[in-house]
This record gives sequence, structure tokens and C-alpha cells, in this order.
Amino acid sequence: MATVGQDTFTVGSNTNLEDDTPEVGATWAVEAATKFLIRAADDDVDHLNGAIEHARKGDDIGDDDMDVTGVCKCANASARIAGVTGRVASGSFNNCYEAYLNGDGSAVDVYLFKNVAGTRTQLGTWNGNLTNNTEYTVKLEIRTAAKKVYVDGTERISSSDDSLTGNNYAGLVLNGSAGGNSQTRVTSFLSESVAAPPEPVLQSPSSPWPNRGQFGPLLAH
Amino acid sequence: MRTLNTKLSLLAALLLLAAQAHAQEVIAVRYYMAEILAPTEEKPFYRVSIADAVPGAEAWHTDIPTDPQTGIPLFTHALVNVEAKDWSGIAADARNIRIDGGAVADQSTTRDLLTQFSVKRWNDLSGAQRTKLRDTMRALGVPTADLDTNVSLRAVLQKIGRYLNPTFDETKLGIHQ
Repeated sequence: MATVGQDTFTVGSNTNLEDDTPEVGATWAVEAATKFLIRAADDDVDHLNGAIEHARKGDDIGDDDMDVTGVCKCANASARIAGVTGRVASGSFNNCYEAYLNGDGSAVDVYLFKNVAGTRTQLGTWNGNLTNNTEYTVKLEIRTAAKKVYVDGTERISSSDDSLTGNNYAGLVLNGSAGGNSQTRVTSFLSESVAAPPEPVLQSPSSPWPNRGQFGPLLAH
Repeated sequence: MRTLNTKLSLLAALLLLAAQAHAQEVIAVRYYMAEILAPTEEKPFYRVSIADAVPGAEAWHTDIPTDPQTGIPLFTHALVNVEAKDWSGIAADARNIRIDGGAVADQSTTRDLLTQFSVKRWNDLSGAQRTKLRDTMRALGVPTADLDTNVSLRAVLQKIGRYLNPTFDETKLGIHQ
């Protein structure tokens, strides 16, 4: 596995996610500006809207197989969501798989969804009855047709749905509350490529073939 | 003698209660064909009828092929792998059709369940279950001509799954750890 994107949302003062500089990889694009707020006091992403909204990290993972991990916590209140997205289409927020903690006022459980052009379909549920406002590590693992959701390292949901392919991005999905401070947040994000990272190209300063590397002519014989 | 009979009756009742309590504590895995429900105001997304059962499943897993442009499901039903302790809510909903119809004893893992599905045959289902399952398969367009050759239930599962989703793989639906 190779890390492609990473963000622990560590900032000196409250910062909108779209203005954040992640530790690894490209910056974030958000579905609704100023609604994903990194709180400096907590070093996590709060969501200032009572609607399902997405953020997409700008890293092309290079393949549509990937692991996407978020440390998430969710309030046990009506319509609360905190989780990660995978196979997100370039330039889109609503073509992806979503794995998240879901609060509905009676329990905090775990859901796997498919989102095609904003039409969402539930692919699986683990009624884990998780603890309110508590951090859990949610990992969405995508391997060709296999989609798996892990919670704190244990596989809880799996599906062989493969409707969305060729999408190489990852991100977040949140549904908080209009005022924020809903305790529905993401504390860290990690996206990893399954494919081996590309071999570094060794170049000779004097090589007339800068893209072939210094061993190119030798290997040609 | 009457006292002894009373004591034995009490003991039998206690054992029955203990067995029922134990049965409701153990998670088992089953396959269902479930109806796909359209979005509502309360639940603005497509889901299977298993999702709305009360009491519900501990977990469930499905594939729902959808139109690549609109995201709307292509079929009326989906295959669902369900884990539950208390099956009463799921069994009470006629939209949930148990694939093995009770012919396979409850298994605690999907791996063991698939092993049982390889052994049990179509003819192990009751006549009523065969009719219900065959009618649902026909309504979806799944070919049913070879069912009377007494195919395995695993072959039936694959037949349904691959008709609905060409990439269906029963070893990737449900937890196999």
C-alpha cells in the first residue's frame, strides 16, 4: 500500500477545509463552501450544515482500487453522518461509494452506500449500536468488485456491487447541523493506493534521453 | 405424583424458555431475495425490504445493479446476505423470500452457509417454497428451466446473483472471515 493522501486537520486557527494544506497530497474541494470547518481546538473537521455533503481530495490515486480510512465520530441524533468516500469521480462529489457512521437518534450504526449522480442506494448495514460521540476508525476497502467496510479493524459490511468503476479519487461525507458543534466529525483521513508506486526514473545529468534514465542504453543491449 | 408432574412441567417450561433465549442470542446467516424499496421522505434512498424489518438484522449486505446515468435500480429485487439473532421481523414480511426456505439449518458464518448450499438441492425445498422462489425468479427474468434437474442451492444462488449482476460473486457478499 502506498499513501496518496493524508490529512490530520491540524491547524493554528479555525480553517475552512478548502483552504487547508494536507500533510500529504493535494488540497480539498468541497460540495458546499465554508461548510466543512477544521476546528483548531479539536483538530478535526466539523460540518456546518444539516444535509449530506461531500469533500473530495485532489489526489488521483492512479487506480480505482484503494483503501480510504477516516477516524470518525458521530452524534446519536437525527440525520448525522460521518465517514469516507471511495471511487469518487473526477470533478464530482456524487459519484462514489460511501462508508460512514450513521446516527438517527436511536443508535449509531455503520452504512455502505452507492451514490450515482446523487441517487443513493444502501448496499449494507451493520447495526453495531456504537457509542455516541466516540471515535471509530472506518475503512472502505475497494478491490475490483469487492467493497468492504471495516470498523476498528474488523470487517463489518461487504458487497460485490461494481456499478462505479474508473473513478480514482477519495474523500469525506458528512451530515452535521446548521450551527456545527454537532459532534459529528472526522479527525483524520488517509487514502492509499493498492498498486505499487511507480519505480523512480534514474537520470544521468548528461543523458541526452532524460526520460530513459542512465541505464536505458545498457538495457537496450 | 401430581407434585412430580408439576415440577417436571415447570422444568420443561424453563428449559424451553432457556432454549428460546439462547436461539435469540446466536447470530445466524441466511440468504434472501428482498424487494427493492423506492426513496421516501423519511428514507430518501433505495434500499431492500430487509432494511425496514423490525426487529431488524444485525447486519445485511447486498448488490443492487443500477442505471449508470441515473442510479435507479435495474431490477425489483436483490439478493441479500443477512445476519440476525431474531428473524421474526424479517420472516413476517412477505417481501423477504428466504432462498433455502428453511431447508438449510442456520449457520453462523457465510462460509459454512455456502458449504451447506452446495449440498442442499432444489428438491430439498418444500413445494410451496419452490413455487414462490420460481415465480419470483421468472418475474425477474431469471431462467428457471433447469431447476427441475435438482440443482444445488448454491447454483440457484449463483444463477440469481449473476442474472442480476454479471460480476456477482457469492464469496464477496457477506463476511467471510
